Amino acid sequence: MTNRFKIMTKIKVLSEDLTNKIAAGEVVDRPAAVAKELLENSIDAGSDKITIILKDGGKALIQIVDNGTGMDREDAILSLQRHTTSKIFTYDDLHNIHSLGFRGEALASIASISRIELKTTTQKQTAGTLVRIDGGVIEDVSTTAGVRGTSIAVKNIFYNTPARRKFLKSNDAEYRYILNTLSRFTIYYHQIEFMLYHNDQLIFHYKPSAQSERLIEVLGARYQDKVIELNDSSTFVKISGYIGKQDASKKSRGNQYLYLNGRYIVNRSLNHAIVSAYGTIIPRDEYPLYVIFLELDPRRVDVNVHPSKMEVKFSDERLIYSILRSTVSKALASAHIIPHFTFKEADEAINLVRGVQTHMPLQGYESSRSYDIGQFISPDKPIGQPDPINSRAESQTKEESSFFERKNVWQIHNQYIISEIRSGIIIIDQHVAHERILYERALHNFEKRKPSSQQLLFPIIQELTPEDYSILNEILPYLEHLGFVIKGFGGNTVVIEGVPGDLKLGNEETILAEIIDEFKKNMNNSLDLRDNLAKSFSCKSAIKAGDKLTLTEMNMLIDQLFATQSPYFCPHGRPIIINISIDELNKRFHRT
Amino acid sequence: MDFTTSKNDFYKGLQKVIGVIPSKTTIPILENILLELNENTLQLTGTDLEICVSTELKVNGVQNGSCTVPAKSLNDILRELPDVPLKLTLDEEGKLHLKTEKGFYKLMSQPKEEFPSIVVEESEGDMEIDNNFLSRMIDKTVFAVSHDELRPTLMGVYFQLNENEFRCVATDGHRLVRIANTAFRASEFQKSVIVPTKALNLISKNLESPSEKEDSKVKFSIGENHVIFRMTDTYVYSKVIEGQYPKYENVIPNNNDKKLVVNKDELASSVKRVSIFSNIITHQIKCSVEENSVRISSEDIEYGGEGNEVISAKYNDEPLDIGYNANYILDMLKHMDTEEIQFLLKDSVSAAIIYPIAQRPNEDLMMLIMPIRLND
Ligand SMILES: Nc1ncnc2c1ncn2[C@@H]1O[C@H](COP(=O)(O)OP(=O)(O)O)[C@@H](O)[C@H]1O
Ligand SMILES: [Mg+2]
Repeated sequence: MTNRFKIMTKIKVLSEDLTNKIAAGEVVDRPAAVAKELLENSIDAGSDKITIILKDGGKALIQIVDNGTGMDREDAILSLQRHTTSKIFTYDDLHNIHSLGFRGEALASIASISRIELKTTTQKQTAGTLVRIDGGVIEDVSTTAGVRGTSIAVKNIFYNTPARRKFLKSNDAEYRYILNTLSRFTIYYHQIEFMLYHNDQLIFHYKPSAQSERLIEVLGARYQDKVIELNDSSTFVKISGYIGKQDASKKSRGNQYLYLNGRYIVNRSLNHAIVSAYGTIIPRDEYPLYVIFLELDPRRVDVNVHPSKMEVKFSDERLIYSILRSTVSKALASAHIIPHFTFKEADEAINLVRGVQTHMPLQGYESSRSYDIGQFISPDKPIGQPDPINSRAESQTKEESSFFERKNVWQIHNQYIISEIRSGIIIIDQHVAHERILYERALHNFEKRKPSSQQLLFPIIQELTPEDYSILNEILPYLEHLGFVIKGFGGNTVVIEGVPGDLKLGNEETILAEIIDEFKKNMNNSLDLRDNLAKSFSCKSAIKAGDKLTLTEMNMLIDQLFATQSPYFCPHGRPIIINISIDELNKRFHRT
Repeated sequence: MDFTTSKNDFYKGLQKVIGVIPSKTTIPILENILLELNENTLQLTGTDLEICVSTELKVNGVQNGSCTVPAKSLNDILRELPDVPLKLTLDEEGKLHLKTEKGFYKLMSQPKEEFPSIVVEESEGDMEIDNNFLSRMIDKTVFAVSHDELRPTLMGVYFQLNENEFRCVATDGHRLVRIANTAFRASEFQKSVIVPTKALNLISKNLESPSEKEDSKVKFSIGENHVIFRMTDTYVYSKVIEGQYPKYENVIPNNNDKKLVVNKDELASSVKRVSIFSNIITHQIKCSVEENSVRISSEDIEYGGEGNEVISAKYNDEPLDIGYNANYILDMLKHMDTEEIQFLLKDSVSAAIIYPIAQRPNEDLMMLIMPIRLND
């Protein structure tokens, strides 16, 4: 990655017309924004070593020292005035932006709300310039001894606007905002050396390094083997960078970095493209890690949407969306981050793909009778699942063997199912697995006509509180779609006459009350009634931890689980399957 | 303790009690079996604290005594031995020596005092039931009990001793079996108890054993919260399940007026085949009853399979489409002994009643099955 920028030494006051074309706005709302603007300037100035010095979360001091081009005396003074920039001159340039800054308003804005000490020396000069400016008013301009580069110290931010100072958060919080901002630069500009001091303590010192090394340095060593490299320059948008394997995802949005031509950007639609490529391999409430660099002809994108320059507008957003999405999903698939769930059964492996059930044993049939034994469903191939060619070959062997049932499946603690697969072992949490199956079936049933319902010999009479009764009334039509037959009995009393056919015997008595309770619990955070009901139903009618399962039941559960849309996570986001590879086992037993 | 016996005799005796030993227990002594020698009689006893089974066998006693040994080890070694003479002695260290002509084994043992003492409570009324009669009552009902711990009262067979009949009832809430025998009367003594399934299975097993003669009788008595079944050389003592058995009589319909007669085996084999293509969890099949025929069909929507068969029947009422769990139907058919059976139907959402085409003398057998309401 090269940091492409035009170096223009002369700062020009932007013409009135151009000024108006640049929407005015507040650039600086907190110390982190100051740090961002200053860093951009240092990077635009071609620096390869940048030191950041903070005091009190940036509230007392944000100082950036670089070894870039520096400014001469005239430019140094000009730079602190509004709409002075050396980076663009005409309106056309605005559509061909290669530098991080271009609006020419950052320094001036910062100057107006703080005390600045600017010290800068160009290569040509032997002596440097020192400018002191206080609330936007130049106090003092003098000559000092200097080395090439610029040092800008921003002190006492918002000292003259107490109202805004009040809005700042604690030192720690502001410090974290700054760290967050810095990481956007330090990850991308890996050839630049960065140092950070906070309250006189050295926080980090990144030496120039390869992109991949810098990434781990910034994100942390625990991501070492957890990223996959992306690289695609086959289209007009060049995509490179890294995406996390599923165990690198987080409950918070933390590790998501998207860059356009070296600029960190925020773009909901492209974020969606990336996240949706992950599909269901990570839970809904987790955020995948990504650090993706897009490179695109600057003329195909408008970066001047907001003063923060973080929002951009693409001329072909939909196209970029689909290119990005497919690049990410290709990378995920080729990295095999989803283990091949190929079960080992002696010599014969059985693929867990949809359709296995159709290869039922045909024993007991006489050939003279003809039965409609159903169409073979060709296994569709979700990401990372076994190659269809393979599975076809394997289903043939399976047809020959008249009966199969995975035998290398064990239940432990009446809670987990362990099975051997080609690449190692998997552990399935039986409750959440069943929850996932029931949840998807429930959602599916809501759309369909009413399913069948096992009628009860002893109808269950239940008295509800008025509140529960009113909830029941609301969800009754959906309960019927799940297979319940419930009738009013006068007052707040109801009679359950039928239950879903696959409900575990004995659950009938308590299930309704439990569903209503669970539904109430989720009412506040789940807006969609159906989703809530499907979750409550699946949670309460699924087999529990502690339920003993027979071999047949375990096999059935596994088959059904892998026929779901999302076998890896339960509706609440808890993992269903843990995969331990033979490699990992070998490693842990020190067999290398 | 010191005695000699033969492997076959000892092993047979052990088989009568071993079934009571709990497979999982937090009380290790319950994994042991109690051996008590008194002259030439060896008594073997096992318990899980709810149920106790004890049997006697004749051995050649040398010295009286007692001990408890792990039932599994004893069973495993006996199973592997050919039918040879055995000599068993307890040494001072408390190990049970088992000697054969060729071999010598030592089993860890614990003293009798560690074993829960079984107090067989006094019970009211002593009745005698024909062996095969009890065996039949159990066999016809026990398959329909519930295995669900949330409804403990359904986890056993309801024994009703009425003035002019003896009745057994089992249900799991989806189906029900009721069998009554009028040959047995408890004219002086009326009582109803719920007997746990495990005890009944143990009794069945003992009744099948060759030492029980065709015409032998079981002595049967009911106490406050227990029952005892005494067979020729074995007794089964069991606590009864506490709680109120559901008022099942109320749910047996008496206005099912549509009569369907089918051949039992034909129906069973059709259902078996068609159900291969039913949903693997609900086992749902559809019976379309029409004039003189029943079409049995299934459809597995998830996996796309389908099954269809038509069998002939005697029926001339309005056509009905009724869904059933195939397993329930098959279970019931297995326990019907007549060639033809008769369904009494009402509509597609009400209970179906099933009778054998002819009852045995003094017997009244009825089964009931709840349908699956089909999608509208
Ligand atoms: N660290 C620096 N080194 C060299 N030049 C700088 C530096 N910081 C600011 N400048 C000059 O000051 C100008 C104004 O900066 P700024 O207000 O951030 O506007 P912009 O970056 O949008 O041009 C820049 O165009 C640049 O010429
Ligand atoms: Mg700038």
